[in-house]
Amino acid sequence: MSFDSVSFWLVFPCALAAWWLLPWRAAKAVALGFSLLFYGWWNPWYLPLILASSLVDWFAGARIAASAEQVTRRRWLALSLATNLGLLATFKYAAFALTNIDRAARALGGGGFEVILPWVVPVGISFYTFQTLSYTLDIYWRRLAPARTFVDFFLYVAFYPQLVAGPIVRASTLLPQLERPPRASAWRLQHGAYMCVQGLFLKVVVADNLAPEVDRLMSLAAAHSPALTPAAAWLGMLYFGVELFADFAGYSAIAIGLACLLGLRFPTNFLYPLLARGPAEFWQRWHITLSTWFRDYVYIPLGGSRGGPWRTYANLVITMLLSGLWHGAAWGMLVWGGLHALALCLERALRGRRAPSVGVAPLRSFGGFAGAALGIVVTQLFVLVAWVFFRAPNLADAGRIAHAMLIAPFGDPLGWAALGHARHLVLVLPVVLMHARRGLREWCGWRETASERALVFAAMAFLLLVVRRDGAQEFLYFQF
Amino acid sequence: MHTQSAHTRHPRRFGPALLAVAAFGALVAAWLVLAPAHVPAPLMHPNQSDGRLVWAAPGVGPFHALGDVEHADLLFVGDSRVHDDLVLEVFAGEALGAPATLWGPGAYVPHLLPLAAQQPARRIVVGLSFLSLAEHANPLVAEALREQPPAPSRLAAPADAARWRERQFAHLVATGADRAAAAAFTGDLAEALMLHYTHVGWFTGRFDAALAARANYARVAALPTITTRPWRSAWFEAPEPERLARWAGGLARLSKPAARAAAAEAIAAALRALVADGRQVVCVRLPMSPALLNGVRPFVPDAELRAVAEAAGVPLLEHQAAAFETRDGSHLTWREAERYSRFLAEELRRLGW
Repeated sequence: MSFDSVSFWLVFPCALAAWWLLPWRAAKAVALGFSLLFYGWWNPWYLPLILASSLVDWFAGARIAASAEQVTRRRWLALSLATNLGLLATFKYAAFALTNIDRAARALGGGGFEVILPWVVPVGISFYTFQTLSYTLDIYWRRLAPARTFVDFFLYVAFYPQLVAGPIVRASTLLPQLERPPRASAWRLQHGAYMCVQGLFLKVVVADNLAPEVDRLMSLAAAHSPALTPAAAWLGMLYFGVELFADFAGYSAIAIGLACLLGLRFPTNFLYPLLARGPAEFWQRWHITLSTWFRDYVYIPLGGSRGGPWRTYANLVITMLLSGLWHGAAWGMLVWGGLHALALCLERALRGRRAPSVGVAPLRSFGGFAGAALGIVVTQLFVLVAWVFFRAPNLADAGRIAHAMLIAPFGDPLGWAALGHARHLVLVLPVVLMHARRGLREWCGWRETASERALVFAAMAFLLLVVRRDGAQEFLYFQF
Repeated sequence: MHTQSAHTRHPRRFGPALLAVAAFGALVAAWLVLAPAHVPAPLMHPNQSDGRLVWAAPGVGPFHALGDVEHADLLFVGDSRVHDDLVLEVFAGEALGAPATLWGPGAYVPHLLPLAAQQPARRIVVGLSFLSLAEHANPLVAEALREQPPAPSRLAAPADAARWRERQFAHLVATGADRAAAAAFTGDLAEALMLHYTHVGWFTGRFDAALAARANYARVAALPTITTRPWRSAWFEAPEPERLARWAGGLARLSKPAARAAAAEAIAAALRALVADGRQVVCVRLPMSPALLNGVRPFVPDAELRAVAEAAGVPLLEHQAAAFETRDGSHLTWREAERYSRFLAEELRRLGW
């Protein structure tokens, strides 16, 4: 069941009513049942995986908290890590590893073997394993007390608003909220509805209508087509950047909105990433719950920036390569992570710790408007080029697109005919306006009123009604 | 995106919600008044599903099954015009029994009819056109894709579909097909294969798809809507009634009389077998633009198709010159397809169905 399906919106009102009307313990049990239905709707055969992962982490968390002996605590933590990373290794990375062993064997003249594993990556496995990992790690580091009941813990892991594609909610955020019944308020209801409609608008109107244009670019690359001109490549990747944002931020907005309707609060996952003035700031605005997860559970444990510049660069590279691998078991993802690592290292070398930051420096405080605008343009151009390796199905196609974007403009015709497809830029406009609105807030302190938000809500709901999508697409982050 | 409440002015009552509802209502009302004069109806069926993949026999296919073919009472068989021109939702409301469609792009009807014979439908409508007699109308269909897809596994259907697509793509390219055409063709087939897996697998996907299709159909039928199309350069869809005329004329010119005669005999034999099995069978020539019809007639005379029906002893409804608007010369626009479907349903009733 997906947030953009009719089925979900037929069933959700029942789940919402049960949540608010039933006694608290029963409400949580029903929410857990609905979460399992939500997940099993996609493929019930993968339900045992999430149950097994949750059971192991539930017991491991309890044992770690109960034990004072470091050796015992470590053993239980090791069990949790082995279970979660083992699930990821088996279901997400095994096919990639075996395929590369096969290729290497063939390249070395040995006999190859066809790799066909009888499974695909289960939906949401990267998200829920990271959630359960953070649970046991936080208990191990004595930052968190274990959940009071298994129902609470399993609901935290499998809670339908965030189960499949995030945000990656920490146990320390959600478990305390599950201890007592939430309070309803007019603001929560209205804000929740706003976020749901905004998310659906981004997904159904923007992302799904841009997807065929991005597919078109990829087919040009796959077909070695001369129509893959610099203009076509840049335009196609711009469409992909906006599609990915609208798709994933749309999902996150719906998740946050549903949580709000349920009286809960989820962390912000996207903070207007098109306003980023540098790679570091980009990761403070894009998929924030993942980047902070890697910061807290990989980068800082590796030493963070405490060991001098070269050690810091090494930690950044390791973290971003792992982040790339998290997004998918493919060489393109590793290249994508590596490019971002290089950009982060370069920025750190040039700016030191003075790099702009969302939380520390608003838009107007770093280099003035011109500096900010230049930073935004350079950052977004870099991000678009890096997306090529994220989106292209293989490195050969990625290479062709990157060549068209970066090298061909100096020799080949730019291929302005591709701008025949520029009418889809109108779908980029809502995303740009959304960011401009936020930019005005960061730059001038302008804030929208509740009435203005109501009008925006009405406009988005209206466009949802009258703009059809060219075939429903699955949320892109389901595959991660 | 941003949910930090400290940065948002919190409405304490439902004033903004009421404003939002009022504004939404005003926008919809204005749209209903203004849009019909400026926004053309969709050219194609709002759901545009090709249907799941089916094979007539090992190595013969793939074709598409739209609707519940295994339980249909009324079965339509033919090429893409049967898919596009006959709207199942309309027939479902015409009390002629549960409808479904078996079709293939540029389908060679002698391959499709044995597949239709395997279905339980007692009433079969066969769309005949010059393509019915031309085996190589779609070179990609004719040349390759002889390998049936793997049986769906419960855990790995998407991966199975992807691997099958890769093998078919490599085979097509190896046999000389254009890479772009092969990529588009196998991409469409892989999507259809996933739909196929959905149908034979866990029921929820089927349920979701059916629900979404009904909701979308109702919405598009109720109010003007807009969409983007990857293959069009204009915002609003506009028919191009002459677009396929030259293509069709060229294809008809290439067809060989001997091959057509063989196909005609095969079709007639298959139709006779259906009739002998107690099925009610009607052949129909679907509407096309005058330009396309005039481009084809010199090479594939109307008499050849008439002779097929006569040889089989089944009625032939000749609607090829009927006044219905096409979107490309060959396929009706969605609204016209609805109108034609009602017209055809009436014709079928006149035949006693």
